[in-house]
Amino acid sequence: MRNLGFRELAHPADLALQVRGRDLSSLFLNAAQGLLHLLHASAAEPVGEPNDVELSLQAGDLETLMVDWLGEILYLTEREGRCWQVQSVGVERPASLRAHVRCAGDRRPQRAIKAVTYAGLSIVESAAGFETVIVFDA
Amino acid sequence: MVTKHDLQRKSPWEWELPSSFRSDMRVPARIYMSEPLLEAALGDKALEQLVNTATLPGIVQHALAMPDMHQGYGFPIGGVVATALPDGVISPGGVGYDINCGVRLLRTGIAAEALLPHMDSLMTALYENIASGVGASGALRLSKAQLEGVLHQGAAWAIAEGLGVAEDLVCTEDNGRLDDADAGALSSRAKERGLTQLGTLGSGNHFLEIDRVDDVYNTAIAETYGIRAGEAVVWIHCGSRGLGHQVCTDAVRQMQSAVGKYGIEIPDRELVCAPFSSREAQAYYRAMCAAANYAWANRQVITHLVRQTFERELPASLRSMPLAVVYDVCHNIAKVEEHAVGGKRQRLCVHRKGATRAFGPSRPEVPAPYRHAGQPVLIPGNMQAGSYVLAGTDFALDATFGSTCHGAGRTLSRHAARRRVRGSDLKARLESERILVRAGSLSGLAEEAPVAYKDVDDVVEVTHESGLATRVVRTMPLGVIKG
Repeated sequence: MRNLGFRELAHPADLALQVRGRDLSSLFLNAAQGLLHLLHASAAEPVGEPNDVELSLQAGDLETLMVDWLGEILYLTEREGRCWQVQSVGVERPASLRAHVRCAGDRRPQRAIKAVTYAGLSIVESAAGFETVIVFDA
Repeated sequence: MVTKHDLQRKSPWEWELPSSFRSDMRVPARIYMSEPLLEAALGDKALEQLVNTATLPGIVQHALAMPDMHQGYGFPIGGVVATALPDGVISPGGVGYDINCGVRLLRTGIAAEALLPHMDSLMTALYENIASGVGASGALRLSKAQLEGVLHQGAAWAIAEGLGVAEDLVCTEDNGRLDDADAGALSSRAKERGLTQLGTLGSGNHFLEIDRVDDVYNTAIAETYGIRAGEAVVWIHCGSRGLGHQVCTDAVRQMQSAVGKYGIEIPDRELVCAPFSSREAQAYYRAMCAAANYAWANRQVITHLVRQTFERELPASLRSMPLAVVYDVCHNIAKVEEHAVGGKRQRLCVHRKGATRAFGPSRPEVPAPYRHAGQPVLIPGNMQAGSYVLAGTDFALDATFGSTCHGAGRTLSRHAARRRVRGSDLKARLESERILVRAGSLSGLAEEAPVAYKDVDDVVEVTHESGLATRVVRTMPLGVIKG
C-alpha cells in the first residue's frame, strides 16, 4: 500500500516506516496511519457504539512524543483487541499532543507489534515539511 | 561503516575489530562467524551496532557478536556485552522488548513414528488448547495478587498451582526465577497487560513445534540429557508478552534522562543506560527480573497445557512417561554473573540480546544431572530445516562469558519475505513434506518462511567448530504452531 504520508521500509529484523507530513500534526497523523497499515487491520465489520478516547501527551522532545503517541495506540489496540482510527490530532511545540481516537467497527489487528523504538528516530524539518523513520519491534 | 578490511582474523571462526577503529570504543569487538556469515553480516548495520555497544561505560573485554548476529536496534541481535559492577551500566536495549524470550524443550518418551497417526488430531488439539496469535488472552485470568506471585516466584508459582512438577525447575535456567525481582518496580500498565496473557504463545516468530530427533552427534551427552534418536520432542518458543514489552518501553523512556544525569554519551538512543548501582538502573533491573519470571511462568503454564493435551489425545499405551523438561533457556536477558576477567573473578552484568547462556561443566549453575556434560543449549532453526540441541563448554566461559547464538538469525526483512513467499504456498509445501501447520495468520507464516533466515546448519557449525558449544542432536519438524 502506497500512501504519500507513509511508506513501509525493509528492515532486516523488524518493521520500519518512513513518514512525512506538511506540519507536525500531519506527521503524527500519518505515523498513526502507517502503524494501522503495519497492524494489517482486518476488514471492518459494524459493531455497536464507538469507543472514543481523548489523549493528552507531553514529552521532553518530539521524538519521545512520537514514541509515546504510537505506544498509546498500540496499548489501546491490545487492550480492545481492535484497531483505532485517529479522528483528530494536534501537536504543539515544544512537544505536546492532543488527539481524539476512535475504535469503531470491528477491525482487528492481524499482526502483533511489541513496541515503538527510538532506533534512528529523528524528526527532521525541511522546506517540504517534516519527515522521520520509525522502527518497530515486531 | 565497517568493512572486512577493518577486521583482523584471529582464527577460522573469530574476527576482531580493534578499539582503534573508532575513538569512542572502550574495548575491541570480537565476532564469531565463518567468512560467508561475516560477509552477509556486513550487508546490514549489525557491525556498526556492535561498535556502538563497545562504547558502553564499564564494558569489559570485548563487545561480542554471536554467529547468528544481524541488525537489531541499539544492540545487534546476537550481541553480548558484559559490564563490571557496581558502576558499569545496564541497558534495557541490551535485553530487548521481549524480556526472557526463550526456548523450552520437552522430551516425550514417544517414538515419532508411533506418534505420526495421531499428529493431525494432536496438532489441532494443541492449537485449540494453547492460545496463540495477536493479542491472545489465555485461559488463566490472574488476580492482582496472583500476578504478584508470578512476578516474584516465576515458574515456581505455576508449580505451586499444580501446573507442573518440581523437577521442571531443576531443568530450567536459574530454576525459573530471578530472586532480584520486584513487582513494585513495574508500572500499573505493565501489570495490567500481564493479567490475561499467562499461558499464551504470542505471534511473530514464537512457535510450538513437535519434532523428531533425527541426528545424534554426541551419544553420551544425548543420553545425559535423556534424548534418544527417533524420539518425539516438543519445542516452545515465547517470552514475557505484553508485560515484558511494557517494562522495556517504560525503562527506555525513563532512562532517556538518566544518560544526561550520569554524563553518559551514547551513539544511539536505544542504548540508553545507567550505572548498575543507580536508582534508575536498579528500578529497571528489578522490573526486568520480574518480567523474566513472568516469561518462565508462561512457558511452565504452556508446558502444563501441552502435557494435558498429550494425555487427552493419545492412548495410554503410547504414554510411557509424562513429558519431561530437557531444559529452558532465555535469550533476551541481563544477568549478574561472576566471570574471570584478566585472571580475576569479577561480578558482571552480562547482557545477552538474542544470545543464549552456554555454561560448561565447571559452572555450579548447570543442573547436577547435567554437570559433567555442560548446560543444554537450545537453538531453534526454522520450520523446515529443524533445530539443534548443543552443550555448553568451558571454552565459552573464557571467550564469550559463557554465551552463544540463539537461533538462525534473519536475512530477509518481514516486508521482503511477504513479497517473496505466499503463506498458503508455504503451508502447502510444508504439508507436502509431512510437516503439519497450524497458523493464525498466513501472512505471518510467510514472514517466518525458512528463506527469511540464515542456514541454521552454518550457524551451528561455527558454534561447534569455534568451541562455544558442542553439537548434540538435531531435530526435524513434524508439526508447527504459529500465532
